[in-house]
Amino acid sequence: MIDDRDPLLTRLFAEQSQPAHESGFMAQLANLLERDRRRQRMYRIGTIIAGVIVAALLAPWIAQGAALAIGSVAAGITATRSHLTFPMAWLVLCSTVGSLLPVITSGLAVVGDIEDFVLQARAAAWRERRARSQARPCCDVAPALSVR
Amino acid sequence: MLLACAEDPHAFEELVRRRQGSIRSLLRRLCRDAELADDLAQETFMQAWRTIRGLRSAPAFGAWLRQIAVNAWLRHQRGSEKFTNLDEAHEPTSLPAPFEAMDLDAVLSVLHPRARLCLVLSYHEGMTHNEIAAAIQMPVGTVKSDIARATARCRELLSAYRSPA
Repeated sequence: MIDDRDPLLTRLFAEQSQPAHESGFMAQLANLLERDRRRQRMYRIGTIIAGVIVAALLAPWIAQGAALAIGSVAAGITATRSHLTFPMAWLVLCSTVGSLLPVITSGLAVVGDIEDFVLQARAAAWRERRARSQARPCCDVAPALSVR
Repeated sequence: MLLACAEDPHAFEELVRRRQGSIRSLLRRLCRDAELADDLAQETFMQAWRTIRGLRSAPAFGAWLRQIAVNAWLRHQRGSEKFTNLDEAHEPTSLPAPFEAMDLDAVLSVLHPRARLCLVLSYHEGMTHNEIAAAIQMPVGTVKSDIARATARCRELLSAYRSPA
């Protein structure tokens, strides 16, 4: 679909499109990207270390719980061994396990959203701080800029 | 492009180098403050870097990046609570003297932010009304009427340049 466009505005938009010069933009962005990569790396390392510490602390309970779970699964399988010869029983088992997958994925998505929100809030706060610092009156320059 | 999608930093930097001009130019049209536009452009590229793994189609990269830039600008506008209510009278900022050259940016700055966004996406980016409606999540009818009103307002303001009183 071609939308009607005003010829005067079309001409002005075409004439007055100024290419933005690089002027340090790339260098600044490369720094930010590098900082972000470093932060992500640290975050991953921190998560792994925290995971290892938590796992080490919880290891006895985890082992106990796992042994209990394996024991009950084994007991369950022994009890229902005769039923697992039917395809329907396998279907029920697989669908039960599969139904847990969306819960895990949505949990991961929530963590990602929280991280994005925090980063955006930090960017907004930084911009506000900078705007405030730039808004300070500068008596030496302001009168020279006014054109009468 | 594929390397960038696999989070290769050098490939991504090359993509940024190629696209930074168009994204910054779009944001400058929307902001009329080069520094703020560059901040939003950086935010756009940072967001792109964090989410590029989720990009499904490499040819859609340009449109995807533009959408991130528009969203960054919308977030900024919503932060300053100027975007949603078009019916409220938008206080015109100072318009340049009518004897100056036709300054499109000055005229755009007088428009309501939402109308400015629709107009810039239509004329600067060459997007259709349907594409704009999808990009800013507004009904097509609203986009059309915003563009029509903004065009009329621009012509009215620009006529001051041509016929000084």
